Amino acid sequence: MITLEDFYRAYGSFRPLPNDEQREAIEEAPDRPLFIVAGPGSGKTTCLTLRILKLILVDGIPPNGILATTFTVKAAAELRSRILGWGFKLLDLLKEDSQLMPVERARVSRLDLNQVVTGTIDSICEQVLRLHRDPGVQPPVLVDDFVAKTLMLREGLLSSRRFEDPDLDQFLLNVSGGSKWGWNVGAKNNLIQAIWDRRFHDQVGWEKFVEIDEEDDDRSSDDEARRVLSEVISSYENSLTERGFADFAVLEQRLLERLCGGQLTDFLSQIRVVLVDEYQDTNLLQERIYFELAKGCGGALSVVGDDDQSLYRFRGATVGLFRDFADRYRSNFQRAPRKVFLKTNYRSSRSIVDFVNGYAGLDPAYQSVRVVGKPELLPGPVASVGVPVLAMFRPDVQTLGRDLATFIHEVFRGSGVTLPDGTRVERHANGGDLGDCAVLCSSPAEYNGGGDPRLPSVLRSELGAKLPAVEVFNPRGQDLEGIDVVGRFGGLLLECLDPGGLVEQRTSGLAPDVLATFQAWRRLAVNFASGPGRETLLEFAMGWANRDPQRSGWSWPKSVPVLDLVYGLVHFFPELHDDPEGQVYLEVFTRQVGACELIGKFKGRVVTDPTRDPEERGVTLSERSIMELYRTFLGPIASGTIKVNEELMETFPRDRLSILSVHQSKGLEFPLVVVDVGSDFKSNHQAHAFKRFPSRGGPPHSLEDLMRPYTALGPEARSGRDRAFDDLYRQFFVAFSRPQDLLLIVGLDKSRPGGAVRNVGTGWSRDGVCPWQANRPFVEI
Amino acid sequence: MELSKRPATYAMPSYSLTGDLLGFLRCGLQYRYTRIGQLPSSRPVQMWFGQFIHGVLEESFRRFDLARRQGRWELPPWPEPVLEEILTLIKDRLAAQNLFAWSEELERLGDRRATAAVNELGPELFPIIRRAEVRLNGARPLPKEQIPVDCRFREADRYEMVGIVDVISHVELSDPRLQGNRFVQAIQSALPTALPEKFEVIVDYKGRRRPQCTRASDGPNYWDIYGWQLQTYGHLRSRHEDSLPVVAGALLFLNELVPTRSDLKQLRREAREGTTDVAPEPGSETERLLTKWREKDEPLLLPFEFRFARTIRVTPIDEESIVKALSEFDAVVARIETCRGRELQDAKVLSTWEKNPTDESTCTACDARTFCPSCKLETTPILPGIRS
Repeated sequence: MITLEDFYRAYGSFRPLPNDEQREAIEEAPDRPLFIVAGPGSGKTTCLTLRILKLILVDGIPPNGILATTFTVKAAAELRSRILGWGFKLLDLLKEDSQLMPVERARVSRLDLNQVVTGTIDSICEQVLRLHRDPGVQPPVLVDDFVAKTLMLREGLLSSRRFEDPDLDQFLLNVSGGSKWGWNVGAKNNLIQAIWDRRFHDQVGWEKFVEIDEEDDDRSSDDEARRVLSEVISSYENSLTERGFADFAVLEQRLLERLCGGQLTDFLSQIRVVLVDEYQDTNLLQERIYFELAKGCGGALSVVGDDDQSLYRFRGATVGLFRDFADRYRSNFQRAPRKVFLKTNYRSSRSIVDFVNGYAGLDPAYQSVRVVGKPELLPGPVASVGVPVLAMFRPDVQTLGRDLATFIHEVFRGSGVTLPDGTRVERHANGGDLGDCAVLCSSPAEYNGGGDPRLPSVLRSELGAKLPAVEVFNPRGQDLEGIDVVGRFGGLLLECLDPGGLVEQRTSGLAPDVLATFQAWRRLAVNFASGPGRETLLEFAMGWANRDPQRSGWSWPKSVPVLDLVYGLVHFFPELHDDPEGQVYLEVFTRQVGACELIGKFKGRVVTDPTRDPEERGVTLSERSIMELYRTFLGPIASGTIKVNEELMETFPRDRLSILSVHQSKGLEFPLVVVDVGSDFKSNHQAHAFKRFPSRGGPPHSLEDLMRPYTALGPEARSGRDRAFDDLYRQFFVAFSRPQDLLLIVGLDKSRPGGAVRNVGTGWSRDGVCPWQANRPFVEI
Repeated sequence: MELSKRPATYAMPSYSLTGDLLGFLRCGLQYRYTRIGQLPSSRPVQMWFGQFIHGVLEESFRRFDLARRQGRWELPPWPEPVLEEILTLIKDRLAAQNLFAWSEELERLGDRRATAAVNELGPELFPIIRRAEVRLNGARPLPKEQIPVDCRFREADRYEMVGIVDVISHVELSDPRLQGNRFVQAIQSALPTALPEKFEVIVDYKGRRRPQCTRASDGPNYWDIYGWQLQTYGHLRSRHEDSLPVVAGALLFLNELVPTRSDLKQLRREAREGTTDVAPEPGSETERLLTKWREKDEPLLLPFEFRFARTIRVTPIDEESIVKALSEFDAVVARIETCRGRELQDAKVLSTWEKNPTDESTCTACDARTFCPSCKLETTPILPGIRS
């Protein structure tokens, strides 16, 4: 074994050595549990990586005995990259280190770091269940959100027209907050999916949850709703089981069951240490998995996270599991973990660190939900003072967008901007570009529900009009179905498959908003295809519409994969086949075709057969195949249920301005960050109170209130309103802690601190006091 | 104040020999669309057959292995009901992923080949299998010097090679149960030097017939690529602490167990032209049977000795070959990274990815053929049609 000194000597030759607080975590004995609370920019991934490498090199833990999980595929890839990247550098150095004994150098040479087990909890579940299965057992076919949502929609909600049940509708509406704005089949489907996921995430006693007294003639609307909900969920569950499918929640549940049932002894015997990153986003099911894994290795569990950065309550995260980790661990393992605070921030200037600290302490009521004893962040030892936090408030979103666009353009395409104190802000002289800037919004949507442009849209047009023009990168900016190229492409698919919508009119299960989208798509497509220079496209489309091969001596095949049509049309869309962003939109269509192939009777094929369908009266097989494509292929896309796969987007383009949601920005950093705290808030309107100063809890809180009484977690003590405030403070904390050099807060005049609009993002505490009013922590420009 | 530059992403790319490298060598643009863009092919190179045979062999080995660990030595051949159950299990598994045999004829052929694989190959193979479906990975320095400076976009200086080995086999020459084992004999005759008492062989199943040993077209040279695959897997496996010396890799071309008419026709031609490395011995019974066979007859099942020789190909694994294989791997990775870098710079796909217009068979099945700048086969999409 090498010593810690040898380890640091090698590491210190290519990286700065860890600080004292990081060393505390790194140097802890391998069998000891750790509770690492890591503030933003504190080198959490570095700390985790070094602990793992120390366990291997100094403590002699075999690489395949280390299991390290994190929340997202990207984070898992980054962690693995660091372990292997730094690890191999260390091995190269240690192999040549003359201060080591030959036997130690030989041991180091033989180490195979590649065998460290890393991944998301889901990828590890899938791997373990597949490799460690008994003969005769089918490995689960993991279906993604796409297929899961499509099945829930089709088998659960649309089946027997359950989506129209008034009791279920009211029940779900209550959970969602009561507003009918945006209330459609897609929204209901998403909520039911969330209930299904929570059933497992929170380990809900499901039978008790859906239990109703069948004898009671005077059943309430709530009871009726639970009955229908239970049917929806059972139908979904059956549809998964029949097909041998598992969604993510089921996958994790299965792993837990096998662990508890003592069936994974081979796998467990290999694991010596478990490390979990982003633990603030964990749920009860995952905690149980981690505790079971830890039991197999004497409690050697280390968790890392930051409760102030817990943003995933809406996906079932329970931040209390992290905050209370020490107690929860102790009651399972009869000893306490070592608590380590990583508080030194290596990312941001002093001004930004001060600002972020101030923000975290702004609301007195928020302090009680934070990890006990959490210290303030400290600026890094070489952090510059930096420029003060800036703010830009304007009367309306058009003016704000115009001035913000000018600011950004001047910095990255011009000669820089001079601040009120005379400081000049310029891009980096050697390759600085728009990729060094990000605009963060709670939602990057370009248009609001009323169709009016929001800040992202104004920025796009203002920057596009500049010289030289600047493009914006905002993949989540518009609802997919509202994007022009998606509409034209979708519309052409519709007109080719079902010209004029004759089959559409006879297709049941299509909600009104979906039909409206189809109509809009068709119009776009017809306009597009009738334009000049589009004759070849028109001919192709007409051929499909008429099922006419347009060659004499040829007839139309009885069954054609719809992918043939998709790729045929793609020929006419360079935006889809030559633009990396368009590729991501195209993948949505092909992915949904894949869902059809998995779960449809016609397997994603266009059938041309006038034979009557034996299963559906008055309908031919041709029509039935088109109906299936409506329900399973184009309908879900048009309903807003389907989102782009962001893992397909490599990285933020250097030459475009990235507009992100705060969630997307988590874990990232940019030299210049613009945070939109209130470009939507022209008044104190109740409709957007939930985004800035909630009067009550939102859907995730209602779901917790609904389901927690049936779980080991018990009912939530904190009110929905308080939880909603807590989540908002966390969201802004994450946003404000992204910048390295410059933070610019933007909003409308009315959102100024102490102004007409109360807004957590402009320094209001939940008791209606605005400390920023008297003491502005920013300089206005 | 001069702003900093945003730190580049740290993610280490991961490349598999079969999925990434082979795909890219077939055609970079097609690889970009299908592998990176995750766009499914409308005419998938039929995945059902390969996955079916793999699945049957893997499941069969699991059963044998479980019995072995419980003290029972139950080698194939197994009775029909047992095989039938396994075949159905795997078909159901593939059906859940929407993979089906495209015809009844193919399904029957699949059944026969899978049965032959278990009942004829199994007795030779199962006793030496130590582990099946083993994940191998290894990080190597990213060949940055082979990537133009303006195309380097990563902070990571390594990449990860990944692969899944079908079988890692463990041979002890003194084991009485292995006396007369055809695998061991094949390995012994392929290796020029003396073997250690205990060693490992990487085994990979291929759901195809044995390739010709001379290059047929400008497409990828399968002998080379399979060779690199074995050398690379051998290298990665040898890094495991529990590995024995990895002396060879063996490819098993499973279609050779039950050849079709067209396979036999091709074999006869290759034997005549000298373009195969395993032909019937002149004057042998096998040669006589093959010469006598007529194409309108039922496909011939030649003696097992010969079919086994056609199925297996052993490649010694040695340092020099490993180094060459790894550097070939590196070179392809550098090409892929260069294309990725170009795409990021230009924000275009068509002009930034290498294409392979000389391999027509790749183009005819490609969904981008109508708009690919290098493919002149079709310039507009053709409407579906069958001759009336």
